[in-house]
Amino acid sequence: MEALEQFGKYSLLLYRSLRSLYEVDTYRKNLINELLKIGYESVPIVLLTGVFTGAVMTIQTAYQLDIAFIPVSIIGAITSESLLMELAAVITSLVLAGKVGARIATELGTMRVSEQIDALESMGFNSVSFLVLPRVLAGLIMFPMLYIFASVSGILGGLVAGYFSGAVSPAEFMSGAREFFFPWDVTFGILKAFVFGFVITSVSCFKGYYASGGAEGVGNSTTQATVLSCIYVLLADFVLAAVFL
Amino acid sequence: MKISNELKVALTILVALVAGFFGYRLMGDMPMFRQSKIIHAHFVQADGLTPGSYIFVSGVRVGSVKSMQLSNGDSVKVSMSLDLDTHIPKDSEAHLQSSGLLDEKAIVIIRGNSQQDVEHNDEIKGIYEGGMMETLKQEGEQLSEDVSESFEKLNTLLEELNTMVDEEAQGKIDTTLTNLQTSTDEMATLFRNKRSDLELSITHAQQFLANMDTVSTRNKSRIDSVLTGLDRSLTELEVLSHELTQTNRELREVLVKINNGEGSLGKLVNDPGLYDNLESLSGEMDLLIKNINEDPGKYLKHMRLIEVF
Amino acid sequence: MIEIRNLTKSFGSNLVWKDVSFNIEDGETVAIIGRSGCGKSVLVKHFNALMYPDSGEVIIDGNNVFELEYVDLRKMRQRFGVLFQGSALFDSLNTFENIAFPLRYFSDFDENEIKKKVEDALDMVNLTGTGDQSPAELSGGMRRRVALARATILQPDFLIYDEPTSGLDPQTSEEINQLIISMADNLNITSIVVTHDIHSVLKIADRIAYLEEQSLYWHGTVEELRKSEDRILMDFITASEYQIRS
Ligand SMILES: Nc1ncnc2c1ncn2[C@@H]1O[C@H](COP(=O)(O)OP(=O)(O)OP(=O)(O)O)[C@@H](O)[C@H]1O
Ligand SMILES: [Mg+2]
Repeated sequence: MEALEQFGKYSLLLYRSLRSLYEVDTYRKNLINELLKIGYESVPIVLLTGVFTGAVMTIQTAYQLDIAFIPVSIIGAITSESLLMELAAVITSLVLAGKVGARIATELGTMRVSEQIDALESMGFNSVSFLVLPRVLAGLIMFPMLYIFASVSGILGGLVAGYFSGAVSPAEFMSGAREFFFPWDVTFGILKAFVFGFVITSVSCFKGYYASGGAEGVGNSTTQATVLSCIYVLLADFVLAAVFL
Repeated sequence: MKISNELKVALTILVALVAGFFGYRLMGDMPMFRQSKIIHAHFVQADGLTPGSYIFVSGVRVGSVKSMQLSNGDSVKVSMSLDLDTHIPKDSEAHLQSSGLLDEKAIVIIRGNSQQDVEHNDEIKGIYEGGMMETLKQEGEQLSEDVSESFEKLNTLLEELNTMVDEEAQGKIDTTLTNLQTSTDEMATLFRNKRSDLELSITHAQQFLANMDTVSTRNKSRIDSVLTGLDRSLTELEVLSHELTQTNRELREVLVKINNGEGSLGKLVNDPGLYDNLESLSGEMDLLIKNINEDPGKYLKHMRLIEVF
Repeated sequence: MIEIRNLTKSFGSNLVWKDVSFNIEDGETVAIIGRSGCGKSVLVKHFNALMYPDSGEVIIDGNNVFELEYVDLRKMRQRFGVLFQGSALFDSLNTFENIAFPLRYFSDFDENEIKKKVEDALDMVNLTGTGDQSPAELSGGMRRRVALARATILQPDFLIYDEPTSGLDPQTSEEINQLIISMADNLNITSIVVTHDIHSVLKIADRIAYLEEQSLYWHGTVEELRKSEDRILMDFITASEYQIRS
């Protein structure tokens, strides 16, 4: 019952953010700022995550396949396909749920408890479209970009790890990766990144926007924002898999 | 120079899109960045083949199966992507064969003689083979049958010869020996024919094992021993065939001598060398027949690969 | 004119006040007093519909603010300037940008005019030259004054001050009281001042609303307050007087 009420409140918040979608002038600066923070500033951590995910995938796949009579190029295929379909989007999102989600929830929560949101509203702003909309939009735009960064760095990481561990040569790795490359995987991955970007930013905005109870309240909403973001990302991942596969 | 936020954002998006675009092209064999040519072949069926299955020319991997679809009529159209620098004649044949365990298939292209090379989007002839295993098995059975039949014939002949010697029916010996010669000729031919078959099989097996070799080095020693076994079988057969030819020659000499009236039957019977030769030949053949019947695998050891794994 | 009619507000099962009704005439200064936690801040947030009541109306120039379309509500809100209790400066912006913020979005002034206006506003609150400091670098009193400059920059019809002087030294409090008075007199702004400070109430207010016992316990002019013999009201006032004198 309460969950349903929360969901209603959440939906309403999103609706309110869309109500001033056309007032681009008011939130353009915020949008640029959010694109910068969610996109540009997340690139290093995403690249790092990507490289290590790819490298670990390669080495572990190589280890597991050592017993069977399967061409080593399969390592490349498994690594790249798992990255494109699942890991690039999910791991990036889980990392960013912490980084981006926590920042958004803290920012909005602080603005809420220090009455900055009231101040915006009292000036005649639609505080939701001013604060929530640019963040969600930036998430929608940037997560697919970060997915690309994670995928590319992940495949490169796998390639390099395969080479240095001697498990698979770059040429074989790539031939495997290319043989099992299905454009649908990428479409699906980008769709996931899109959905996860939406989930993380909107949930964090919701938690931050309705924070209450001073510094402690902000802390609570931040914790909830990151935890719920992670849970909903995994849930969305499952739902997408169930619907599209 | 201070980079404005707008520029940073634009750069992020741009770099992502460019990386994504080129990555996609690189991964997806897009025509624009094509690194391979696509050729097609029709097969009656394509069970076991999957997109990504390998394509070999003379044992060298040159590409992979891109896609397969049912075409009009009762065939399957298989599109293969070959490395751009593979040159194969236009009249080459694509053989769909077993390449590995678990009924995995691969396409082996047997090169033709045409001066013209296959171009992108060309089609070559496709031949569905039951798979190497099945072929080998059939060949093996055939061989074993042929051999035992021939040996039976030979045995009867030798028996007859013995009887005739006992009865001292010299007149018949002439024809008998002629028969014997034909038989041994047959044997020799048989072995020659079968040898090329067997050699082909062994080449296949070697090719197959070479593939396997790249897969893993763990069972290399076992594979090697199997390979050696196969080689040894071949050598044995060769020796055998050689001996048969030798015997045949000797027989012919005897025959010539008899024809020339140069010796008597007693001389023939008392010639311990010839007798021994015949007997040991008979013994060897018996042994061979027995061996092949009891353990056809000895000559078809590669069939045991399945047991190995 | 702001007409408050039968307002009732509760948070969950927690009643803040009920049945609050009074009028605020144009150009006058109304002080809202009461104990801490009696719901003064909550009350003023109803005037521009930052909060919605359980029941009742707030009618400004004939329109119930709670029934306005969102677009109209936002227009109506722009007629208000609000000095929040915690200043509510945007901590991502420096002092100058905080004050310039409403101008950038809701006026057609060019950059030079904005600069001039903001500097004038900073002069007015005695903060000349602090334009590029961030809110975090300012003291509480300075923040309050920056917030005041921001609340008045668009010359609103109504100005709500939520405890403009609490926690400030007597001298600064006095300066702010003077600002409120001059604002009301010179610009004919209707002012609503929430405060504990009876001293400034008596100085600046035309009328007073006293929240007590979860309702509007008393309201009237300063003259009426002086003459009132209500025990509870007097206890509240004199408690303050006592504090000031000691
Ligand atoms: N957002 C809210 N959610 C729940 N309760 C609230 C909320 N805002 C205020 N309250 C409650 O309403 C009551 C009145 O709060 P309010 O802030 O109006 O007090 P105040 O009169 O302004 O006090 P002070 O003089 O200390 O500022 C308090 O008991 C407070 O707990
Ligand atoms: Mg208050």
